[in-house]
Amino acid sequence: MADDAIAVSRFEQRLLTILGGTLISLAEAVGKVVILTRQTLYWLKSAERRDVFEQIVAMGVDSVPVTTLTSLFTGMVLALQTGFSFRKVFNEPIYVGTVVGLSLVKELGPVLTAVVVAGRVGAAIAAELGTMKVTEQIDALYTLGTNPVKYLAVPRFIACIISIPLLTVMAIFTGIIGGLIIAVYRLSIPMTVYVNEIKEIGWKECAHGVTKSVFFAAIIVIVSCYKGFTCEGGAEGVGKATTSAVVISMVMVLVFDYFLSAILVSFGIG
Amino acid sequence: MISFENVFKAFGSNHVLRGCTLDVQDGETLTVIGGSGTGKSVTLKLMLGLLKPDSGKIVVDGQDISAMNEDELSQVQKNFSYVFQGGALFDSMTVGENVAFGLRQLGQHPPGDIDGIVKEKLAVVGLQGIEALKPSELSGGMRKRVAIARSIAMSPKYLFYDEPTTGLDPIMSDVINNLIVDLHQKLKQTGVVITHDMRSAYKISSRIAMLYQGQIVQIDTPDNIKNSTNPIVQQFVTGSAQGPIQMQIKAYG
Repeated sequence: MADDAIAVSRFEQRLLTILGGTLISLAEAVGKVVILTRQTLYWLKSAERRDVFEQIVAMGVDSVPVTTLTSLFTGMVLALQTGFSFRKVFNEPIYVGTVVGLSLVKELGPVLTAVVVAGRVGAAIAAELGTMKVTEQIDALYTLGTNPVKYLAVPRFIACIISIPLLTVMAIFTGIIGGLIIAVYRLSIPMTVYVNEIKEIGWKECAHGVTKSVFFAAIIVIVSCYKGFTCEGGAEGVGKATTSAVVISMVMVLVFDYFLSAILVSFGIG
Repeated sequence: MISFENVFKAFGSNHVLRGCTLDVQDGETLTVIGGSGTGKSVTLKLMLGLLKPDSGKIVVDGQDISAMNEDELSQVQKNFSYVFQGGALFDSMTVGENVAFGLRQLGQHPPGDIDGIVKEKLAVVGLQGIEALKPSELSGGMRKRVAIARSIAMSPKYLFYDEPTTGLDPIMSDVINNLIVDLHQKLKQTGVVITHDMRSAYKISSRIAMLYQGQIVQIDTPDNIKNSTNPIVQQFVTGSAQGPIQMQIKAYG
């Protein structure tokens, strides 16, 4: 009986240790992310234009091909599936333009772009900053009178906030073109019908998509910078930081997508 | 002057410094010796404000840096320069950009003068004409010398060296030792060096401090350290496996 009591209490103790430990490290991580965000916003005005421009080229311009290709085929498959499904239900492919347009503007454009950029840019940020951390280059910045957040995180933050919404707009446009190609040449929908349906999409829907993409950009860059700055343990550590930066960014983008959509809709945007 | 007053620092259950007290006098080169993992690098990072002590005071020129916020600390850090063990050169930049980096960030020199200062500092460490090379194209010794050039370009009051001769061949080690001695004589800076290379320690130091189990066990001139009667210091400087310092050797498998 006494043994049982000890066994249970030991089990409880271990459980509490594990749960407590996880909770403490989670709270610490959230706290550090908040501090990093605050510092990034504090230094925002002091960013060098040349650094921001370099980052826009590396993050935005170089992401154009992959984003274009992804969104083009997404628009195409969306038109194809909508057309065939509606043909089964209504005997003709109606509302293809509306479905393709609204899906891309409100959801697929911002989310797909964010996921693609999280994979490409988030990984690059975490790997670069992580390597700088493990080779003491971040400490070297401090000793040379430079704040690493100001020098490394701020230009990346501004570049992401500018380039990801622009990439999103471009992705939406490309997706709509992809849908148009399939609608006209595969589903035999008149071009004017498709274009008129697209034209009916209002500014509120566009604002909905672009606003979300700004938040997604902030999530990707802050998570990736945080993972890079807190990276430890050599090459293995850099690998782990990079993987978790991409995974956490993607998951957070998808989770925040719901909450942001709900909030924006409740304010009548979209 | 830098003073450590009863400094404690732990990482989880690993208590690295346990009441460390130490003074660095202006104008001297103080070398901190001790075995691997005894907290030499931690001591240096605490002096620089890169780490905060758990308790105790770290006083630099009369100011307690352990209680400072980031802005105040960055003002004090302008007096410091640090030569990292691996050099910590920025690998995305050329050698010239690395040496110029701190100067450009401080903004105290007109941009037109910076190239001249970079050339001059690289000449001081014996590396002329390599401004356009990338750090990946340099040997270990050259990287250390570029790192020293980058540090002295800032004209700091205090210059810190983290194991400056580790990983170098004996001749290159001596080149670095001579460079440290020369710089000290020319620039009259206060130097703090951490190393476990005793040849280097004897050559470059005004005083040597031995760190063991988180405390300074002896601090004295190189000659007195060489002839120390303290069994811990004696064992370390002679490099004997027999003595009070028992290295932990873990068997895996």
